[in-house]
Amino acid sequence: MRICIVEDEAVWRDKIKPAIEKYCMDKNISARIDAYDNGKDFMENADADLLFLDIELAEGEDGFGIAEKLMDSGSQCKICFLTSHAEMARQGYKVNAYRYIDKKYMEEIDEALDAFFQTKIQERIIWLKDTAGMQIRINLCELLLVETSGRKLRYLMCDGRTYFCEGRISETAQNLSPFGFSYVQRSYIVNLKYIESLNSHEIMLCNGLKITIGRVHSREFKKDFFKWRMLFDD
Amino acid sequence: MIYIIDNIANYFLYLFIIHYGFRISPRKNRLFIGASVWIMLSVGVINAYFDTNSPIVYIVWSVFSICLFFEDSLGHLLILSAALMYFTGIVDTFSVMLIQIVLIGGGVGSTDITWWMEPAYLLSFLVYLLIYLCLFQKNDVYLCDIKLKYKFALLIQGGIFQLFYDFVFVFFEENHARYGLDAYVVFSISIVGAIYSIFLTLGLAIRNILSDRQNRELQSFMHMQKQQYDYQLQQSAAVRRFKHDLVNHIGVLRELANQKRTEEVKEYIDTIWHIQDEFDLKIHTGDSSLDVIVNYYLYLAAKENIDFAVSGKLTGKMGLEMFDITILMGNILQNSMEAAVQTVTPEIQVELIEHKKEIFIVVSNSVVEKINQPKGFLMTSKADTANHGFGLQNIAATVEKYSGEYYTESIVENGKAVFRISIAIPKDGVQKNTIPKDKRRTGYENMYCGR
Repeated sequence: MRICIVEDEAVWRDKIKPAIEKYCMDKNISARIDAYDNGKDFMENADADLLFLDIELAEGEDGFGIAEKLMDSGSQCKICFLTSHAEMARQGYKVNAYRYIDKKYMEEIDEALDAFFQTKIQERIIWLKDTAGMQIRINLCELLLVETSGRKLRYLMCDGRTYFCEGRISETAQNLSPFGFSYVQRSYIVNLKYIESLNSHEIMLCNGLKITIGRVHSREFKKDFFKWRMLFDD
Repeated sequence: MIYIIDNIANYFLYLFIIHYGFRISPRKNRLFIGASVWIMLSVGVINAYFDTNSPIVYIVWSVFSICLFFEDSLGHLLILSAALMYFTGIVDTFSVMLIQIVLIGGGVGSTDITWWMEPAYLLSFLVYLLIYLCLFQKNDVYLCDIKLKYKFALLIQGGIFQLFYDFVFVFFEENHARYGLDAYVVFSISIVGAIYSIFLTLGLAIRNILSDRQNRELQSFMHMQKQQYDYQLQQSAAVRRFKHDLVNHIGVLRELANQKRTEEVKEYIDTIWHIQDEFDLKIHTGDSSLDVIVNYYLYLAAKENIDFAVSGKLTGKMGLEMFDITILMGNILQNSMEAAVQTVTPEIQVELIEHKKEIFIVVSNSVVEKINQPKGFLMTSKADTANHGFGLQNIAATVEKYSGEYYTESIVENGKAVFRISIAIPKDGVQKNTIPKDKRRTGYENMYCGR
């Protein structure tokens, strides 16, 4: 995880960097935090996950320009623009940013970090025992769905690998629900990330598999999917 | 056996009409529900055993079962079940007579239950379904919304209709040989006319509800606009005052500058700067219409000592019409202000999230205590129910207009009770009434809470 700050004024740099460091320390998150005083230096090594970027930089550099260049390079980096009050008044923004943060309200940084780390909830590994008693390692990011298969549970990964494990689907659904999985039907738990399309009674996953939404689960599923969409911009 | 099937069919019909037509939820206690089902079944068995269908027994079990099944005041349930039985009885009898004539011709004298009565009940059910689909569901109206005078008119019209077809059927049974085809035609037209007048009254009642709804929407819009206008007026008065004072300010500054009192000049400018800052919009969301409303509520919140915060920005205008933004955000913020002001530490938070395809608006406010939302229909917690509870309806209507989605939740966060409403509006701002159904975003139409 790499978080960068591009801010020409040392006063703000010295405030923002410690704030992020403190946040990461409090939440026990290991992240590398780099601060730059100009965009050029940052662009030389631009593989950041999260960037706090000043809009008006020294020597005529423009935050929006840097952001556009970064997006053009195909970077997945989320950009939080740092603004001062005068710039806030500017109506309409050229780039769709992750957040606009008023430097006067430093607590907005914590909120942005909260939201950012929420998007990383699937970046974790779980360990399961398969039916043969072997320990298996499952990366939640790559888990497509869990379905019942007789008395066992079948874990289907994106690349087609499958694992059979013991367990009850309702319990598994409960355990996976904080990580962007939804109990869509009596025998299916799906990763919300891989929903390609949906209508009121059916979802289609990225591998083309269609699953009917269970009547009992419909309300909860739609709510789960709503919250998921709110966190992630596909 | 036919008695048992008949009872079960009627039972389901009543449950269907009361739940979907009158928005009454079933009891949570399973014991009551069990008792309700048990009464219905046992009466069916008793009827079958003695081979009778006594109206008294029928009325007693229906009323009992309905009162046991639903959670509502006993008086209301009694009136409701009696009125329903009366009305459905009329339609049922009519269907029975009609089918009897179609199938076996002429005679309506026999009241024995026979196999062809089931298609007759099916016909009645189709009539109810037709009414429901064509009038109620289409206009998103519930039976319980109909004004009392219309309900009363419908019952009376039902009575007249019953009297009329009783007369017609009995008349023809006795005299069918005496009259020619023309009499049959005249009577058929009259019966159709009687049914038509019932539909017409129902249609009128529904149109009445719809126009009331529209009136309320307009009134609330006007009210909000008026408030905002007053606020703008106040602001412009302040600007005029400032302009008027400006001459004096410049005079003072010139004097200070003449005397070379630079520090005081700076101080003076800072003060004026602060005053002019007051006229600026405090919150910039990226959508100018939204700015007007949000800043107005910020002003109101400041007056009431409510902590009001807006986070997030939009890259451009939202794609909603000014009218709709006012209705949507005005109602949401009005509701949240009213709830928050009653709490010890009143807070309102507005969060704007813009994604590629959708815009999310999340408004959270502090509430006195967590509301236990009745499953399905959240109306109002205010005492004056006649004039409240429409805010959420207006919000729902606006969200639906743009094929959006919304959820409300009442939770406890960091030890504080919070009410939160989250809205998603597709960015292309598709308006339902202008875009053909097949071109709309898929399947979000029925995803609103409380539907």
